[in-house]
Amino acid sequence: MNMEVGEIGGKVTCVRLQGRLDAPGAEAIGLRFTASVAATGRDTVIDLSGVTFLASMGIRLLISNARTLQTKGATLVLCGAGELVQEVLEQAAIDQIIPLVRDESHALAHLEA
Amino acid sequence: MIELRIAARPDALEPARVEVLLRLQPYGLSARVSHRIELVLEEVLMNLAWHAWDDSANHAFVLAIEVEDDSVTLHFDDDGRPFDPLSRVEPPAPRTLAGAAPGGLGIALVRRNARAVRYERRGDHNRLSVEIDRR
Repeated sequence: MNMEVGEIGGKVTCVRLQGRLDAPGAEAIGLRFTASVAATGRDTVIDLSGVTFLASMGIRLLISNARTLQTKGATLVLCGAGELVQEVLEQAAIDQIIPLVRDESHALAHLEA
Repeated sequence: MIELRIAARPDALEPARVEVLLRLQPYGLSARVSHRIELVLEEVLMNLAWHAWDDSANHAFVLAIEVEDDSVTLHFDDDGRPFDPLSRVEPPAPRTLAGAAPGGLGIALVRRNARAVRYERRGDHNRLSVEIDRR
């Protein structure tokens, strides 16, 4: 699992993930992910277009970071999920509690709305 | 019947996943079915690794895979403490971020990716069978 952290829209953190967000993948990036997301307190977009697999440990990482951001008054938005990853997010009803949009520009629009 | 003995440790997941996919290759399963199998394997293996035994000794379980025309069934056999994952009441779907329950997600994903899930205790073994739709 690879992770690239950048910025979009001037003040929104954008994290682009590549690979499997399974238990080993979530463990490999966990600390760095949390430092780049929850710890910053900034609105954040997680681009899942490079994620080939998502399981419960990956979902927990997303939920815990989204939750912490919320307590700091910021929002986490997911985007770019492929069909099978989207299915897992829906099965876990994550799309009901974390915004899930098509791509980074839609994510930015969601945050600016 | 495909049969593998897998260490009940998180670092055994990736080699097990690769081995399972390799052994299933001759059956020409779709990407969607393979995905369901990988998900079930991960969630059950991680659950066993964390919860099935009380000590820190090395443990393993046996995974047997039965492939039929319309289904693939994964049978997990372990000698851990009695645990019926189906007896746990699944938490309701979260409606808010704050209300999202931390536990139970793994079993929920297994259920949602299976046509049927069965558990039985045989002597001092747990046997969990997860039947996945092949269509």
